[in-house]
Amino acid sequence: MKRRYYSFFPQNYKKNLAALRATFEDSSDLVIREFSFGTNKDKEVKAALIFLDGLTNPTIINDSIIKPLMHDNHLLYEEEASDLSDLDLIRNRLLSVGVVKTIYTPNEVIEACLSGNAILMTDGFCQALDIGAKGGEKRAVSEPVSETSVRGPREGFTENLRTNTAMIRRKIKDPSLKIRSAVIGARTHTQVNLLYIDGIVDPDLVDEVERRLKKIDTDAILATGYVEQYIEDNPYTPFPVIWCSEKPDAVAGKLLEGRVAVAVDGTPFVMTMPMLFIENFQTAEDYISRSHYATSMRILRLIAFTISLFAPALYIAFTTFHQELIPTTLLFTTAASSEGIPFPAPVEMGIMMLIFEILREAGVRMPRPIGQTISIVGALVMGEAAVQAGIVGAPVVIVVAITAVSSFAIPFLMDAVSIIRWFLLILASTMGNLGITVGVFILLVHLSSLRSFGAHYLAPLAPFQRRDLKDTAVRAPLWAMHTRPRATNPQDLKRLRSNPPRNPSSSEKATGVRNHDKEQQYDP
Amino acid sequence: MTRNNSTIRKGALPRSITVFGICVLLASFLTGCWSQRELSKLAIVVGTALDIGDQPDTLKLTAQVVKAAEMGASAGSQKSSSGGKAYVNMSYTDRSVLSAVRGISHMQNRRLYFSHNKVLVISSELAKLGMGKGLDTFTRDYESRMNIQLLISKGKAFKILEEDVDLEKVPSLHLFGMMENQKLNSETAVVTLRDYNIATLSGSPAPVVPIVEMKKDKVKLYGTAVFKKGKMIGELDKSQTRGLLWVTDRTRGGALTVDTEWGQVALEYLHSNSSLKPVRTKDGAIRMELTVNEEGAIQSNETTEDLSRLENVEKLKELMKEAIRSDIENALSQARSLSADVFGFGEIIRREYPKEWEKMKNNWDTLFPQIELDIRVNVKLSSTGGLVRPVIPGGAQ
Repeated sequence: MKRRYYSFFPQNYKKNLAALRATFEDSSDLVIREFSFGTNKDKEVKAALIFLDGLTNPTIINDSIIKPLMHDNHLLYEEEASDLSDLDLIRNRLLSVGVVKTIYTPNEVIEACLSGNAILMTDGFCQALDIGAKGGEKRAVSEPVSETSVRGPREGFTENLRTNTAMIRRKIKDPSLKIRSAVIGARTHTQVNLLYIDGIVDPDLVDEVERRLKKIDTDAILATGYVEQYIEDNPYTPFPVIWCSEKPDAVAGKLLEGRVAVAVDGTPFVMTMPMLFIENFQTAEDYISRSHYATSMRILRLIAFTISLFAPALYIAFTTFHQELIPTTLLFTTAASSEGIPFPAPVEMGIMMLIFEILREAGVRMPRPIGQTISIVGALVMGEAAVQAGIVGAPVVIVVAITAVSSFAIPFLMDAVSIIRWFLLILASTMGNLGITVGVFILLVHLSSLRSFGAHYLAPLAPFQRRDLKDTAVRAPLWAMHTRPRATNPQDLKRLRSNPPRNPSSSEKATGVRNHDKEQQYDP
Repeated sequence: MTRNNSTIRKGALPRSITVFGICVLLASFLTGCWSQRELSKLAIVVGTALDIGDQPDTLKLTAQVVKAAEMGASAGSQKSSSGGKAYVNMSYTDRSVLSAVRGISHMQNRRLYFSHNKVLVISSELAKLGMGKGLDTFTRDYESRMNIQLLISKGKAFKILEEDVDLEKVPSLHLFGMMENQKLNSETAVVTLRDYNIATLSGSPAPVVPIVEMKKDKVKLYGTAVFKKGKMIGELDKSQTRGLLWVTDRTRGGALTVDTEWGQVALEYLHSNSSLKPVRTKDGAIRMELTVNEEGAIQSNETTEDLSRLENVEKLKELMKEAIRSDIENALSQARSLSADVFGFGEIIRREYPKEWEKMKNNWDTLFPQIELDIRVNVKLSSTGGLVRPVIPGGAQ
């Protein structure tokens, strides 16, 4: 939908102002500061500064716009000062503000106003000046809540788009980091920025993302998730096909792998695409810690994924279909705990899983202080008391607990897994291990059919790409990862050629000395 | 890069997905959870005993069922143990094993579940009449496993399952553990249902099954029963069983006490292996050659003699050799008198000389006792244990 605007009345300053007032009727935050300036009394110019209170920086308005106009005429040459009827003169000589644009249409006036700029309209001109005076309250850069880091950078994105892109720019000091801008949302007019590194990224990918962004036709974009849902490839999959992060270093890493990032004003999250399945198991911390540890953590996350997906289903399949597969002693203890339980095992499992999901949701939505109460009620009352009261067996509580804990180890997949787990549980309780096998096949078929902006979701496993396995379950040392992942089709495949660090004592002594000399040379 | 999926789909779920979803949903109802069974509806059988029934042509099946609540009591379960037995023995007499199992279901609210059956005890009376009836069912059934320990009981089989157990809670589990423990002494031929079936199905050998007996409410291993054509025809005593294990290369440790000129010395078998080979002699007859390689150690020296001296070691080795040889000869003479090929000579001959075996196999019962066995025993005493000299020194020093 298009907003209907009035058109400028050429050179009719008063009418323009009145029309503007009409547009912003009942908007008490609109400020129209009328004043006049000029050296000659008869040549005084009437002007109005229009801005929305709260979106602008008062210091800029007072000191850099109004003050020079009204008091600093002496800065001008005498011949100029006599006639201030030239907008360019005002722009070039008086306004001490970084961003000043000349605008011509009322639409531009309104848009500039809404995005936090101040507009200077002067009597007798059909142009106005759009003066960058953005300001207002915003949250300071702080440590991200959803992703914490031990050795990595602590800063996280904020709700301010410019702050966010600046944080990325600060990581990648390269003019080839491009930031394209778009405005989406007929009412919200949300700034959406598209970031990529020219020369690495596949240009087709950038075009594709931009095309999809342009296709969005909606009146409101309030967060990254809105955009995500409009541009993703497979709207019906439970798996995330667009990656997002709260950490600038993580996004910078993705950009350097040849991905495109989309930042949306108003959310402390930046999305990157295309996304691969394996990215669910990667964290920014992986590349900071030593590769052995990072590898073992990757494997641990894969195990956690498997447990959180299959544990309840396998427990049900084993205890209701394949008792012969349980070691005899374990069977006795399991049987002992299911003695006197009024529900069939699948129902019992369902009850516990439901309770867990409710507790999790309650814990997320509740204010922090109440969250603690919930965990106490959940842990003690639900777990311990349910077993004592004989409603569920102890093994079921253990299985649900381990499932829950495992799913916290893979935060990206937690949503997907908590749905699929139910699907597998139903299959397991109707068909046992056969059902689980069927479920696994359906999952595999589904996963391998997924695409994210042209990239195969399961790459580099399917289609198999041997050289890209360096960053899957195994995180090879950084010096061994010579190439960027091929799944994103980067233009510049090679990262810089590097070699394993060498022990200086094993190489020639002379080399060490030479290196030392070089270092000194570089010293200014 | 292909981007065929790039368009943003809108609207309702695609028809194909809806149809597929409905089909999956309906199919899952069709299954009706068949073969599903709740743990609390199962009676987990850990041991079975077969006796001759009191009516003619019947057998009495006793199933030992674990009371899971009692078993789990020690595992920290909330239900407190009542201090009772952790098992129930259920018996039923009928014409076949299967009908007896069905019969028990007339008396119980739970279904007997045989997958965790550990032991099958058959009374020697029934074994003498023939084992076919019981074993076929236990082999053919999907639920029952092939690694059940087979035992023959002297006296009533169900009595064995009423053993007064000390360390375990359930007699069957005690029996099962006891059989696994037998590699310590190599005096019992441990036989599973699978071993028994392999022996009978391969034709020639006479299967063996260990015998247990009840002595003052405790079960004790006693010897080995020898079978032929599914019927128990005789027994091997301890020494003969040891001989059997030597020949069939199943000795895995054990101890031997020898009487020396200075007193008793206990020797330990550390590593042993034996190989059995048929050899054709010049006159066309087939002999068997057995080579036993044994490595032992001195386990205890109750004399005052220093056994680390080489001539003493040689003496001990001779004694050890003699003991092994006498066990084997003992077993051989018993097997000959029963005319039962417990060693599996026939099978080895068939592999090595298939043509000759074709001629021999029909009258193997009469040929077997005539097969000569050459015994070669190589003994090595590799260690005197943790001590070199005796604790009480003296002797020839």
